[in-house]
Amino acid sequence: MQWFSISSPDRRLTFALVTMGACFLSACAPVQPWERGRLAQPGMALEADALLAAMDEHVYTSKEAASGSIQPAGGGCGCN
Amino acid sequence: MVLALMLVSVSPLLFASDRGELAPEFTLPLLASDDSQSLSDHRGHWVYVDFWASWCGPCRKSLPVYEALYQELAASNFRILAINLDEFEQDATRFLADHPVSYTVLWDPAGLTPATWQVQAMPTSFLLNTEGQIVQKWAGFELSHIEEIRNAMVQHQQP
Amino acid sequence: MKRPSPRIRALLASSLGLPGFQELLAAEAPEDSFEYQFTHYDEEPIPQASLQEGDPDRYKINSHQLRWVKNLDSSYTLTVGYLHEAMSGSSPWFVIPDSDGRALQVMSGATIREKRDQVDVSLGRRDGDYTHTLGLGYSTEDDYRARYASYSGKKELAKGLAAYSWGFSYSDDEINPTDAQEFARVVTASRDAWSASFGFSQVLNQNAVFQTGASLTRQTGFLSDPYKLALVNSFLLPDQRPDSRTLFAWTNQLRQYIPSTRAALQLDYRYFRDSWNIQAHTLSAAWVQPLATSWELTPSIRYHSQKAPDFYAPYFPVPPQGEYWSSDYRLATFGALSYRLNLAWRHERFKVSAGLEMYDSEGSLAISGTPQDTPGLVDFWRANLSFTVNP
Repeated sequence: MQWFSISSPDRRLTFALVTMGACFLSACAPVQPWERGRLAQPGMALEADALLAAMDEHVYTSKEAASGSIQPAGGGCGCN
Repeated sequence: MVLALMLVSVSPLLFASDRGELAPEFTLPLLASDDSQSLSDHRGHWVYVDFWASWCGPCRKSLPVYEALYQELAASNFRILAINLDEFEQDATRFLADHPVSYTVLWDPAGLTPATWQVQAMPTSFLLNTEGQIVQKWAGFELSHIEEIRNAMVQHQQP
Repeated sequence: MKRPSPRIRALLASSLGLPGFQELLAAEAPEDSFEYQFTHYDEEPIPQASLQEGDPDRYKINSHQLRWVKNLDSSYTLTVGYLHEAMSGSSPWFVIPDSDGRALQVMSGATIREKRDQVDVSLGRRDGDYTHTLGLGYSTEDDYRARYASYSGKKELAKGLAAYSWGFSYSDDEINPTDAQEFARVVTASRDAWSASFGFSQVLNQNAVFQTGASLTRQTGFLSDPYKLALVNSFLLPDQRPDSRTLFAWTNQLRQYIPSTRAALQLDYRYFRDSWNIQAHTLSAAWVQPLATSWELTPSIRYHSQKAPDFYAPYFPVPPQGEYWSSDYRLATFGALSYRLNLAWRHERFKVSAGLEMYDSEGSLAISGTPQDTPGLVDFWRANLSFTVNP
């Protein structure tokens, strides 16, 4: 698949990100149930404010050429 | 904080018993107070030990329910010792301002007691009989726990 | 320390698998909630110096969103969403060069007024470590209609310290451009999209959570913009894009707690690539700072950079190599920076939140690719106000 080949500046960036990811994973430490207070803060949630996230996705995908997230996609719009 | 750590002395010993395990002893400061209490101070009463924190979602539901149970059984020999595990004391006091309780709340920011008591979820609670033995354990919170507490107290009543 | 006795271990074992725990990535029931959000979106007018013809005033959109989450019992959760938006303004139509070869924008003449309504319903089911969610949605406007369905799942591992998630979705869209006869637009057309995604999240330690995932989407059908034209070799031709497109996105999220100020740092990165040879990087960073009791201030910054497909040009002095062409500014090579400030107030069962975003796109902000003179690149601001109640 020709389109899947990654050009060199992108390859460097991808490598940097994968390396960063591996470092994070190696820093894994067991977290006891009573030690999860910091992780329970609203700002630490992976799934953000649903309405704001939906509006962000709608605005950015209507004005930019990229899209895609871990959540399943919705329908399109005739946005100009 | 330093004071709190000094006051904490957790007995690692668990005594075998034909009626159940003797609950591990602890001495902890009262929340927002210089006083402290030990589990053994309450020997001779049914004691319900509840591990909770202000950030724990189900605890928003459990505290008011436990308070109602405590009020109802105030005349009997039933006590509640709530062990708060917040890192910051003010998070707990602010939470209790919105969900006031009249039972005893202890503070263990270092998380020494839940480690000894093998807490595996938040909240977790234990019912101890008048001998200080563990009769039943609950992980998580459901409204049905209240009925189970009553049943356990009846079932495990000393002869 | 002494190992727990058999009786204690039996008590521990009985605690596993019960509901009502505080677990982080776990299948815990969401709280019942009712949310409303108002958003005003406002695009800056095209500068007179870049405007050849038409109305310089671009889109203004007012949106109202409602979301209702209701736990039907201990395992089923129903979520209903509704969106209404009203748009007005003109939009970029095509680009022509002036006598010096500088690109000038021609805007649609009359102000477009349009409304869009969207309804989403989803049903989630928690079953031990698993959560399954089925969703259906419908979006309708004068000239566009979308019907879509999705399934997503999640499996919790390591007592809520890690989770897998996956999802599939399908959308069936129909386009019926207005004034099709008058402007020789396609009268009716359709497109559809299949999408699959996979993700993995992991609590790293007491202070950090990381999530990585990828999605693959396949679009087929009429993927051109029926309202846009391109100047090709001095002819004005309808926008013409390939009738299929495969999109790939790799997303990463990190949440890092900062103990000194009790703040949360949110870092997100997405790499995007598609079969039209569009490439994009999107990075965002937010600092969620709790203030005095109940208040929370969140400044954030977002950077997006994209490289145009080969069939994009503001205009085509000579016919393009392939059989496709587009002068839609949204396909151009550009970079965009946006800044947002959000203030939230939370108390007990209520949350009120207000935010303001400024978005600025420029060819020169692109990280890769060669930006072309694209007068239609958009700058906008957006303000939102939302209320949440947990009854």
